[in-house]
Amino acid sequence: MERLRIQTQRFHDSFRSSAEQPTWRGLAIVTLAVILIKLVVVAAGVCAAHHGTLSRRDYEQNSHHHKLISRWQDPQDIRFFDLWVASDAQWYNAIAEQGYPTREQFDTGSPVYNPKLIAEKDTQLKYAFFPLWGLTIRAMQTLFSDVHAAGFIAANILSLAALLILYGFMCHRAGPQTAFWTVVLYVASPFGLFLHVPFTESLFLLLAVLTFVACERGSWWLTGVCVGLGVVTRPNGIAMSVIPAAFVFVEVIRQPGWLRGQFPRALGILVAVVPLALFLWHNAAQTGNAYVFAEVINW
Amino acid sequence: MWANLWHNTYETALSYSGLPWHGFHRSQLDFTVLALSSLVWLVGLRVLPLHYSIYSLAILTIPLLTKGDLMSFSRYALPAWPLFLVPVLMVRETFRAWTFAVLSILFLFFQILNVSEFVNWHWVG
Repeated sequence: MERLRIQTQRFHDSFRSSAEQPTWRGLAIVTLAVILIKLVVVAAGVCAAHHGTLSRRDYEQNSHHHKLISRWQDPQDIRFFDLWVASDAQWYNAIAEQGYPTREQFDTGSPVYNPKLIAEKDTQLKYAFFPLWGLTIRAMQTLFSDVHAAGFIAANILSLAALLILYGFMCHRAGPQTAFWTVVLYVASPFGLFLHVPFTESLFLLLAVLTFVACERGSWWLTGVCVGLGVVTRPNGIAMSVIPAAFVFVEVIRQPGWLRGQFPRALGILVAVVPLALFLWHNAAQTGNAYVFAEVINW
Repeated sequence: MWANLWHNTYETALSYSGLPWHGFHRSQLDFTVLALSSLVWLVGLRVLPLHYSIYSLAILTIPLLTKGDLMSFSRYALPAWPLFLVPVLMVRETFRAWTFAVLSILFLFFQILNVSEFVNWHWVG
């Protein structure tokens, strides 16, 4: 145990050796870098849509759709906000506009036809998609009524916010140069495109980074809020609950007796159960089974 | 749960050469991302604070334990942001600008390939 404590302290000290406060100039540069990368990716996407080849097989057979877009009838009818809505994004848009089905609305084997509309085919699968991202799109629709526009704009605002908070957090922990390249590598990474399209990744990243920040600042109620919201963002959002548990484990090893000083403030983390409890209550009210998502995901 | 882990790691590694490069349920790309992420995670044990490594491990293992295939694994791994900190910490400060400018451009090239598929309704993740 003593060896583990010394090693944990060594990591802690070496990691903080070049830590600094983020400057406005640094924040401006990282904002420009992130926006530039987003613009390059979006421009490349628009270009590829005009010059690439559509996979009608994927559109018709492999995905469910909230709405059939005009490009399905006419491949030349390319609308900017429609480009970014595929696979899971269709489900979240459907949840944003129609909510979850009751058990009576479950699809019990209607004829298979393609492309499949979520409102008619496999309706119960909506429960595999947790509610917070759909609610976020719904909230954004108060400003942008088009669901595709609302999702795209929300994803990009949230991912930019997440990356700026990550930069500031990393400046404090490892210095501005490390922070800058971590953020740039992250947003440029091959699957970083999911930070620009209306999937859950932007919201989840924001909540994960905020959980780290809240833990290290000892703000237990904020940790609880972020973990609770992360858990109802996506099924594997349960990973968020690992952050405070691991943080407490590390601090207890590093400073025996640390935990005693955290009570009763640490009880604020219990707020984390509220979002999941509300989701379970909603599921029970809609379908008679609070764990209906486990049924449809086959957990 | 453990059967999923066994299938998604050991059995998928054995059948790697027979997998399509990128597909809905079966994909060399998703397994490659899993292998690279695992490698970076192991290196990260030496340079990251322990709770960063534990969080990354949870992000990587939950899909492996709960799903019967690697569908969308590359996307599920994205929130493991501490893994992107590992290479930055491994390179000396004097070499960072060039090293990561080149790596970011290379990454961006692959992201553009992915977005080109995505907007034309091909499966990405």
